[in-house]
Amino acid sequence: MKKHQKEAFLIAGMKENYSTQYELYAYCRNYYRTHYKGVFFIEDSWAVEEIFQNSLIKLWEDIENGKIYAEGDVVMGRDGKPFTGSILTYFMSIARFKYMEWVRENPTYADPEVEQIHEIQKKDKIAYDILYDDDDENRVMQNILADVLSRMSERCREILTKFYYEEKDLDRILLEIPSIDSKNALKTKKHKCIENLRHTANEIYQRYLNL
Amino acid sequence: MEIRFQDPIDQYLLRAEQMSEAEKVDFLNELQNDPEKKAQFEFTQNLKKALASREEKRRRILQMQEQYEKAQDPHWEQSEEEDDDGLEAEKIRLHRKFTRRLIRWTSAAAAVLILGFIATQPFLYDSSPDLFYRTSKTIFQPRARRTRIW
Repeated sequence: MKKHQKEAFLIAGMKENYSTQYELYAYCRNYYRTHYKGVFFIEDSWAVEEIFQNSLIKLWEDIENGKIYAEGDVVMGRDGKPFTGSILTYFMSIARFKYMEWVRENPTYADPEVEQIHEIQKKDKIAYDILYDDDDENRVMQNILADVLSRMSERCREILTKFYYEEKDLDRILLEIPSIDSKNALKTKKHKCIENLRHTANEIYQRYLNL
Repeated sequence: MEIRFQDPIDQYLLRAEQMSEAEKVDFLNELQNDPEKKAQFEFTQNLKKALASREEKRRRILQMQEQYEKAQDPHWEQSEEEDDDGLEAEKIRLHRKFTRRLIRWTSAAAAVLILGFIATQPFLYDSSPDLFYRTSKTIFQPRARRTRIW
């Protein structure tokens, strides 16, 4: 099977089939493992893994939302035109933009070259197109939120995930996070997390609209 | 963003079945009449969807990661078995540590006793040189008898 046929097969099977999902995972993982050092440099292995996971989630969401899809043996882009490169190249460009966002959050790791790239990226429509763009306005916001969530503090992410995804009430969450003293403190913390998230997401959304 | 209005939003999004029809209608009317509250509601709705999409995939990816690591590392099964026997291994490790420590202390105590014994030897006997070192003149003479101090 040729490379583009394999990629089309993987994308077509992504929505329902675990074994195909795993195949795409291994396909991206093998490539990422051998090539990420050519795209960016991080010493922290935890961050390397985190960037990989976030990039794969983004690629997966793009496939799920029809931004990338397969038509026969051809991989198609959102504009309805065949994909010009390999999905691995696309995946690595997501990883690169995720890395740049990570650098902004962790400036001690940044070097002057990366800072320069980041300044360019602020005005670069391609980064926003790859990371956030969608026909549906709400989905743009969801893409931005997913991105910001991946960079939020562990505690905030834990509270919001337990509350909105696992649908646990505050009493239950309080039992699971004993370091928080009271229900009121938990409620305030949750609200602050949402406020910070909203503030950052709106900033990115405004930048996206102005490009 | 109003903190007080977050509770009704959460209730509507997460526990709508606990609300009466009248409460739901009131809530939706409030949204229609206040654009800020509507924006807050839409934001929370998007947050819930973004979290769900991200978490489902993240959990699936962790599962895949485990499978991938198993496939990459032929000793994975073995190390998993070792993990299962972890408690037993810990007991053995502690026992060995205790034995090593016991041997070390016993050796140290024995060394102190031996050194102490050697160090106190000169004081136990009358140690004038002529009693110990015999010259050629005295070598054939009978040796003086050692006398205890006490």
